[in-house]
Amino acid sequence: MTAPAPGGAAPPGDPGEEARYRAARALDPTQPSQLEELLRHLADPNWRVRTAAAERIGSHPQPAAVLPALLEVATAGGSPGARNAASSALIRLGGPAVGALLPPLASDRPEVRCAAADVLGEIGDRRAALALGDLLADPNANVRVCAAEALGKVGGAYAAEALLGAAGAPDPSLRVAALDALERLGVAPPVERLRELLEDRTARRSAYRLLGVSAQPEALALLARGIADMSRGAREAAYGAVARQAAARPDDLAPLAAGVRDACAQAPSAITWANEAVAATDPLVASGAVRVLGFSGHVESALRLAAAAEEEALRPAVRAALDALGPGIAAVLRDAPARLSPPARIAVLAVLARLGERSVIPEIAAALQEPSARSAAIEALGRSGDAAAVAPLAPLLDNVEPEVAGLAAAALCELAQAGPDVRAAVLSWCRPAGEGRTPAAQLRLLGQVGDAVDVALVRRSLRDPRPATRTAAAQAFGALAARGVSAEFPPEILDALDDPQPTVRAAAASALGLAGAAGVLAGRHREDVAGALGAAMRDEVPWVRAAAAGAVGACGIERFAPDLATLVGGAEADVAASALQALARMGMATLALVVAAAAHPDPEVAKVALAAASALPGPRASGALLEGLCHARWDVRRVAARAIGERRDTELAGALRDLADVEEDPLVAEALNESLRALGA
Amino acid sequence: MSPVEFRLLRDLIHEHAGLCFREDMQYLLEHRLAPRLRALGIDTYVAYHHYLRFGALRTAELEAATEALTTNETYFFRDPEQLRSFSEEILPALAGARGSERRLRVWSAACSTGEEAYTAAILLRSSGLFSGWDVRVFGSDIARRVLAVARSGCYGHHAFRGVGAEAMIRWFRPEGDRWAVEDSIRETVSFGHLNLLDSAAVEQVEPVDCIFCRNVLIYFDIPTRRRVLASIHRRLRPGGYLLLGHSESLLHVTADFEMAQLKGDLAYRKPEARP
Repeated sequence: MTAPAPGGAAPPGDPGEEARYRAARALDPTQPSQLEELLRHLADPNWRVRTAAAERIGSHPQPAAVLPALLEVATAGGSPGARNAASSALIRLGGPAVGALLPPLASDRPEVRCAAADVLGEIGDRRAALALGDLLADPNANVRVCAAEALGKVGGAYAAEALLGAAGAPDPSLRVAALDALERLGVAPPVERLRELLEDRTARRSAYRLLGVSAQPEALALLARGIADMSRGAREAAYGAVARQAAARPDDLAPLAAGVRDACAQAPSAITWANEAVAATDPLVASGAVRVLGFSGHVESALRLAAAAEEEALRPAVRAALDALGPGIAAVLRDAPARLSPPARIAVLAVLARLGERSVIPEIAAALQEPSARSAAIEALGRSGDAAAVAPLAPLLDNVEPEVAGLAAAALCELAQAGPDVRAAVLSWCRPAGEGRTPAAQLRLLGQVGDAVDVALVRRSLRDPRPATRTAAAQAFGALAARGVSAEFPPEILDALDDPQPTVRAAAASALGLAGAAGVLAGRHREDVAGALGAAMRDEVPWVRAAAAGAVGACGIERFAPDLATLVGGAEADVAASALQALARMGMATLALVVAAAAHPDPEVAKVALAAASALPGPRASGALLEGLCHARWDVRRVAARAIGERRDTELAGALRDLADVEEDPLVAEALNESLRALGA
Repeated sequence: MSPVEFRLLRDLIHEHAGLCFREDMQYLLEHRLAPRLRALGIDTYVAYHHYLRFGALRTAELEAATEALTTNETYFFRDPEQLRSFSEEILPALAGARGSERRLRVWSAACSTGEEAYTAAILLRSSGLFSGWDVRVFGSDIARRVLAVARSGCYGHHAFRGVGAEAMIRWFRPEGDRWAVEDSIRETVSFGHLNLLDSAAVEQVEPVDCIFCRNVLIYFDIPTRRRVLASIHRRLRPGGYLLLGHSESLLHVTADFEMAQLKGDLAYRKPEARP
């Protein structure tokens, strides 16, 4: 088998292109003669034909049969198109190709070592990490850089450790490649090391990026220096890092804000630069520049920030930045909102309202008529903390669209938290004057903010002919009981468990659970509730059974443990998860049940089981947790990792450590490391 | 929204609708689903995930979540450079290629509130190349609510931020404090609900000569992009054009389309079946 000839430029129009493309797609790589043809197609002048050939070869069921030829093409002196197509085919072969790609890492030709490292990086298999780590000391500079880049894609503890070492290498290219690879892995060297790197002109941009992923508080002040850097590249790296830090620790940004203000005071151009960077095409850079303007205290930048709200992706950052600039922005923004699109306008007006600018409330209320801005306007009114926002919101509780009514209820609920006067205004608008129909959203709101006096309305509504109203009334009863505002136990809530509508029965069961958890049920009521919930656990509708099982657990009705155990073994995942959670809540989840449920095909049941296993001693529970660590789904592995930490089972520390080394999912790896720390390992 | 909540919801939405949200798109998921949580009175995204998995109305809620995540703000004559290429290069090419049939079909495959479909219809008309032809524009979207706006053909003034005064007068008429698309344009445009992942439904779209599929593929992972592109490739007539958003390309996705280098832009074309 020989390497195909290098491809040349495609002739204009290339009339045979489509025919060659179709021919390549029809070839079978397992047939030697057709494989020869496909390998020749890798050097076709047309990219479509090369792509088709790479796809066909990359789908070969026996990678060993095509690896030598592909490697030859990938590393030969042919056209870039042919080399890229061969690499692409190797990457498509994936994991099975890894073993065959390791020997080429030791080739005496540096271009072969580079090509193999590149492909291994793209495949991302950690079995290659050790070999790639060795290449960081390769005599050829290009190979060292390729190895660093590949390790950044492969990831894992070994790769991070090797890259941290390479970040101190005397070779500047390797240093920068290692730093960029570390950023990709989200692993930052210590701040003191990054401080040194900021003095290194070649590494400064990478160092700023890494300050964005550093968990050390000292990183923030150091990062702020970057916004005044004379190099645009370094500044943009710093903006991006600001955005990452703002997302990672939103409540702990004071040192960053102070640092930005200092930097702006020393270098006034920093404000101009940040204003320009708001228009950057990289959303991370733009978002960081927006946050910088917010920290700067330069209220005149509010106009630029308002304009940036046109970009949906920037709106959260714009809101935070305008908030940070404070009430001074009101004068600057006086006329700006009129020029913005409805969603951007509402984003700006919402900030002004929150800052106490009452005059904007009518304008936000007017936007309730604009479909594209309605939900944002409702939210803005809810967050204004102003009693004047109640009047435009209250009529929406009866809106024909349940979403609008629900949003209005949530907004009024938020308003009610703003203070006694606003709460009184909410209740005055939302308590019905007569005996007429009460909208479902209004009932839900009264459950969240109402008093004992509202129980009468809830009772009446539980007898309403409309299922939606009865459902909302049951939810309101549950909310009132959970808040402890009423010890009254209306008999209608038990009747609701026999309602013809399953939504009402489920809501009633959940409400009884909330009441039970709040300690409202006692004496005869408790017995009545137990009997009714016992019957509801046999309801024909699965989600009613699930709600009833949850309520049994919340009420602590231990005599139903056998019934709950039966439900755990049933077919419906939601019922099984709810029943097992109820048993665990009562401390009655047996080992056998937990072990069996940990192997349940539905991940939610498996997660409940593994969380419950954290409270169970013995090797069988340990075994279930270890199996959970190998589950195909990341969320199940993560729960298993956390459960082992909570269990304080030091015997599992070794297994945890081994798995932490190979775990590819960052959230699972984080949970594994947390548990290792909890175990003192 | 915590990283765990993001991943749970992202995975579920992907399983349901094939939508793919990268880590840096967490804000989008959070921002667009927040109203759903508030409307349902759900406090946390974990609880919302549970509701989507097991809630009584989970099917409807998954649809609502998908709709919230795929509804994009848009406006008339968005991306003027690409539209110039459409008017000055693609339409003349199609006028030549389809001259014997005098029939042209354009599909706006994720039309949202309809501005793109009407823009295409206006450009077809104003080109003057298709007088007396059978010309239709079809707009489709996965979200039903936006289609109601599209069908109304009535928009607030911010939908026109890319429209010059002359075009405004020529193709729109005031209707209260809003503007309506001229009736003669509306008559050439129709809208329908369509999930691009539903290949059987896509097969019902009649063969078209040009597809606008801008800023749609970014929401899909590579396998899903391939599925969608395979479906729309079948609906595109040989020699027909595919227009993507500026941040999108078919590199590493499919080679079924050839690149058409235009003076002002890049488009993709379904190759003619030449020997």
